[in-house]
Amino acid sequence: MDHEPWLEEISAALDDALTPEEQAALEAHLAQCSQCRALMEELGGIHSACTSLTAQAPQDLSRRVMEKIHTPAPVVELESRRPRRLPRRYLGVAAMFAVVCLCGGLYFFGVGQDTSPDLPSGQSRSLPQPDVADYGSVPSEQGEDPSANGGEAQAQPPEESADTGEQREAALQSEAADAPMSDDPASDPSVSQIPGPQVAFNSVTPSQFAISGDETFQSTASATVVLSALPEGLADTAEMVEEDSYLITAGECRQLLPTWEEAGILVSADELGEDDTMVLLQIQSGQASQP
Amino acid sequence: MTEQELVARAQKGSEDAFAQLMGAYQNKVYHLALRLTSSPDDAAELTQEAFFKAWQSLSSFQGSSAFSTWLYRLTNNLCIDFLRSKRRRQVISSAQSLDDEELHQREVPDPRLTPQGEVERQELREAVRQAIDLLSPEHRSVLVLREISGLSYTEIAQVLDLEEGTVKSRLARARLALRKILLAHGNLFAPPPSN
Repeated sequence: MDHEPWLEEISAALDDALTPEEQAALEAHLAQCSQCRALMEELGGIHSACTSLTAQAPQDLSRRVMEKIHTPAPVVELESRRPRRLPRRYLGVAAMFAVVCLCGGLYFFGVGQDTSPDLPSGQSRSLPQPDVADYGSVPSEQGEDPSANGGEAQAQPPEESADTGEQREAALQSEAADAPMSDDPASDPSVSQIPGPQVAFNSVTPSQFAISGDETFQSTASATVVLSALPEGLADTAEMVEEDSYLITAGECRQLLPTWEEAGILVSADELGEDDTMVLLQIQSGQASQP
Repeated sequence: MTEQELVARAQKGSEDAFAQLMGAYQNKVYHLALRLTSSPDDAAELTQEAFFKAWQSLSSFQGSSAFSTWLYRLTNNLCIDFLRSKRRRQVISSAQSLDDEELHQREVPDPRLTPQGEVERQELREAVRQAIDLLSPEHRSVLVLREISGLSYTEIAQVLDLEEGTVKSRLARARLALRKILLAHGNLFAPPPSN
């Protein structure tokens, strides 16, 4: 006889969590199955022992809590240890990236029905990853006129309706809102490949937060570090508790700081707290980080 | 004054109301932390931290769940974070999994507590206490919240952010794992023959 299906019912019976029908079915089974009867009595004995366990909190607990409540929390501000500027070795990469974006932006807005009267002159849009299938008018590497292609890489026809144009504009603005500005390579989503000056700053310590909009605490940490980009390798080390939020011990964070510093991410080790405390790392891409 | 009134007053800044809430729940919160961490010192620190965090975040409590549920969830999360941090520094010699019925290679209960013949109630309680410490964190959480904190399946589901069905099955597995530990250490008596 298979007793497995009755395990949960036996356990739930100890908690009075069965419906009358489930209780009746269990009792009918127990009347015929000595093994399950034995299991029920054993679990019942364990259940009684568990519920009889007691513990007393320390006598001075309340006093210590109130003392801590009355103790003002230290406010810690992090100062950047060096000017926010591009490391020399990345100047060439940044310059090339800027040129590509500029060319792409000029071509894109100079072809078809790009009606963007609200776009300030001289301001370029940064296309996250130029996709000919999406935009149609981004030139290929060979400089071909996409409008000559018959496939997905077709540019928008000149006789595009105003409504379609407005929709495309809205989509572009929406994407642009998500996409970083091209003049700041440090804010590119793929920052692990495009390093740059990324100043990280620590919020008030000790801090508390609710990771999501839920009313209850999701987690606690002794410090919160807001980073403008996801450091390479962090996902392998820290525990992701929510999108763009990672938990890591302060000790592990300190060990990663030299690696982050090479990428221009600056965090003061002094503000991280004790090694065994938890630090919350929040990634806010595209944010112009300032201390 | 009802608990809801106390919570409302505490949310408005009444330390006296909060102190009364602390008095009502400090033993339960401490016991929960103790069972989860197996350390009286750590449990005391975590309990203190839990109430401090509760005071700081009282404004976020909207009353959609019971105050106790909210407080237990806060405590559970604190303990989980603490245990995660602790595990990172420990060499874990055996894999931990929900379905793993094997014993964890951790501290073994004192074999002198093994009752011969009929089990005294006190000895069984001590054996169960030590056996709970050997459960995996997932099993321990659900079992402690049910057996120690007395939460319903619905409340446990809210604290642990699980479905009620998962709570039911996980609790059954936890009890089975606890029974297996007790049997392996010879701490479980053979039940008297039933009618």
